[in-house]
Amino acid sequence: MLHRQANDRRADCLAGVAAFKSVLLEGVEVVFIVIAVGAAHGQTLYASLGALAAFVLVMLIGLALHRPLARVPEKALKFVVGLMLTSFGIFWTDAHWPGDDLALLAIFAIVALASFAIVRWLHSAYPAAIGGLAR
Amino acid sequence: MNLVRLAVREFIGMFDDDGNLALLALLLIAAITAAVKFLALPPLFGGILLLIGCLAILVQSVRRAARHQ
Repeated sequence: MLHRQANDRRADCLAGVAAFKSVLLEGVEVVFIVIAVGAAHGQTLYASLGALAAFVLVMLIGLALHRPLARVPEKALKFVVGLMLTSFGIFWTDAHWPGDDLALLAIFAIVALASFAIVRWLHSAYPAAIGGLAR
Repeated sequence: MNLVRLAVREFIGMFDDDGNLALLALLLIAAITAAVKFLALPPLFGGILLLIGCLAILVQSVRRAARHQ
């Protein structure tokens, strides 16, 4: 049966579309971040060049390490990326945070602790719902 | 046209998994921005309110999703 599934062109097409959507989403996020970082400091060109260099580097790394990368836990990766994006978004509100750039670490710590607490609460309060939410 | 509509819906869906969460986050940001710009709220207080507000919205979204499961 697995051999038959491996030769199913429709499964390949669906997997390709799903992978394309994920990569497209991440790529668009990079564009937003580059524009936000570059525009905030009047250095959109340098931010764009940095993003282009990062793109080339990630492509090369992805080609070289695509097999071990496939074993990286997807949910944990999304969780950490979400924490970082939320923290950076709050930090960039131009709030003149005490400690300047070090405040980013404190914001990240607060968001991370709160998120872990929410996950623990979810596990204890709705154990039956965890299976459906764990996607 | 159906294909275009489907593609646009898929594209928006990649960013907006929980519409309620996205809407509340946008409203929170707009409210704090208005308070800082027009009500002379100190930016640091605005940032702290944004942090607390984002976490509150997250808790509300998670509770709602868990109830629906």
